[in-house]
Amino acid sequence: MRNRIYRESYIKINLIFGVIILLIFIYSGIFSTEKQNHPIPSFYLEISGERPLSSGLSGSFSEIIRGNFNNAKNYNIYGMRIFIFFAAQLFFRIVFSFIYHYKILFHRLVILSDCTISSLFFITCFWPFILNILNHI
Amino acid sequence: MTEQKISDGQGLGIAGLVLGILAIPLGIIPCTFFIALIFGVVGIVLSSIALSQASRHKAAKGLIIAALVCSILGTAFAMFWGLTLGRGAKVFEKVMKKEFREEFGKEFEDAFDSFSEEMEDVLEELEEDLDDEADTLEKNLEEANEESDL
Repeated sequence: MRNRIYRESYIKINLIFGVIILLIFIYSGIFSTEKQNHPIPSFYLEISGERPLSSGLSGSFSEIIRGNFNNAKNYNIYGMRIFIFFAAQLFFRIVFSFIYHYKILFHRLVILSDCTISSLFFITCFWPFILNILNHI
Repeated sequence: MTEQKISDGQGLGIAGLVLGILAIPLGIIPCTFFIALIFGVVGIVLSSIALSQASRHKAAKGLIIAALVCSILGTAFAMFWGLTLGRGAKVFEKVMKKEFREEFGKEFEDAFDSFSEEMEDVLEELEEDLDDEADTLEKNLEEANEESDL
């Protein structure tokens, strides 16, 4: 019974994250840098008046979605890394859900590998931001 | 009934885990720390409720504990940026006050000094003019008196 609950939970969580990542891509597709109509402001920039490391990420994502990779770098140098993280996560959600559902591997092994791979990938892609936090301490 | 008991708190646990996992990258990114703070705090609340429900009915807790850990981690990152920003804002205020005093204070002082000097010159000129006018009036009066005596 517990196993069934975990199975359902894992699929549900993967589905939710898949939808959220797709929504991020749709958001980047709808709002463009030409019109400068991104609705989410940079709270850090607005409060401090100082440009943070993550400034221009939305613009960078919008450019990547449109295939303008060079322009994306101009908006934020780390935009590509973060975008790859989200794209890879979408791929992982689909693949791990498939493996889990069709019992290709043991359920515990699937969850453990998912956690390990995702964590390592997160640290790799967000490394400049993690370093930024460490520098501020 | 047994299924209900085992799955108690799982829905809230899933919601808490999703919010907690989302709060971690959003908390690390400085621009979105405010959203991460909201997600993290809501995640902690949901996970805590789920944990108490699961404990009461002796249901599975692994997912709920993971949700609580992720939410706390995301909130901690967001709070770090919030505190850094608060500290930064105080420093910014102090620097701005000091700069204002140094830059504009001097300008105001210089402007006030030049204004008072100009005013003094104008007053002196006015006094001289008034003296001249008084002298001419006196002369005119004397001339008029002399004419009347004659």
